[in-house]
Amino acid sequence: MSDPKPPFEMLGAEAPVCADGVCAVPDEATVPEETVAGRSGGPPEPAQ
Amino acid sequence: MSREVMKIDVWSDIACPWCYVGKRRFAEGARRYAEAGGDRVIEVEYHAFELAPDTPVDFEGSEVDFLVHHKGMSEAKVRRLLEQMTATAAEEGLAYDFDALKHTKTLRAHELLHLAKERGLQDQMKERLLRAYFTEGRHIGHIASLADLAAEVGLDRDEVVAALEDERYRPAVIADFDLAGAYGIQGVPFYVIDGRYGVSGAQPPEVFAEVLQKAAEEAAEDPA
Repeated sequence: MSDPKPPFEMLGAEAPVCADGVCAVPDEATVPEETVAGRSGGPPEPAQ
Repeated sequence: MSREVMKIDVWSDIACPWCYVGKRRFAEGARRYAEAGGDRVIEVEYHAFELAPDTPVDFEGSEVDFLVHHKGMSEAKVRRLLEQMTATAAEEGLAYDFDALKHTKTLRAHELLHLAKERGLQDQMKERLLRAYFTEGRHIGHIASLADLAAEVGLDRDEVVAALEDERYRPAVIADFDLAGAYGIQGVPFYVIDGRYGVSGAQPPEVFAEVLQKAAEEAAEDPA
C-alpha cells in the first residue's frame, strides 16, 4: 500500500499557525519555534 | 439555476488563537471573492485537530502556567506572546482574554462539532465555542458546559449530553485526526480549497480571496 499523499497543491506564503500546543508569535515569527527545526509549519509532507 | 458549491475543509482546534483569527480572515476573503464577482457558494466544513491532546479536562492553572510548565517556554516569552496575540486578535475585532481563559482538553468539543455538522449548525457551534473559550472564559471541556453552549445555538441539550456521554462521535473525530496525519498537517488552521489547493495558516484575506478565485477558475476549466 502506497503512502497517502495530499491531493492538493499548496498556495499562499508562510503564515502563522499553532502546532504542538504552541503558537507563532505575531510580528516576530510566522510559525512556532519548533518549525525552525522542521517539525511543522510549511507545506505538509505525506505521512510516512 | 443554482450556484455551484466550493467546498472548504478546515482543520482547526478550539484552543487555537490563530484558528479564530484565521476564521475571521477567511470570512473576509470569501466576502471579497464574492464582491469581486465570484459566484461559487462557499461551504465550510470543520475537521478536528487537537493541539495539546495531553491536556487534562480539568487543567489547574492559567494559559501562562500551561505554556511555561507543559511546553517549557519562559514566562517572559509566554507573556509577550499572549500580549501580541491579543493585539493581533483585536485587529480582527476579537477580544481575547487569556487571563480568564480556561485551558482544557478539546476532544469533547470536537465531538460536539460533529453533532452540530449533522444538524446543519457547525459554523454556529464553532463560532460559539471559540467565543466562549477566548473571550468569555467559559469552560469547554465538561459535558454540561458544552451542552449549555450547544443549546444556545439551537441544538437539543439532551441529545448533546447523551451524545457526549456515549462518545458516539469519537470515531468521526479520530478519523479527522487520522486524515490530518495522512495529509501531513502538523499546524493549524489548515485549509483545503475545493480539494485542489492547500493553504496553511491564518493568511491575509486577500490570499484567501485569490485562492478561492483560482480554485473556481480551475474548476470551471477542469470540472471534477
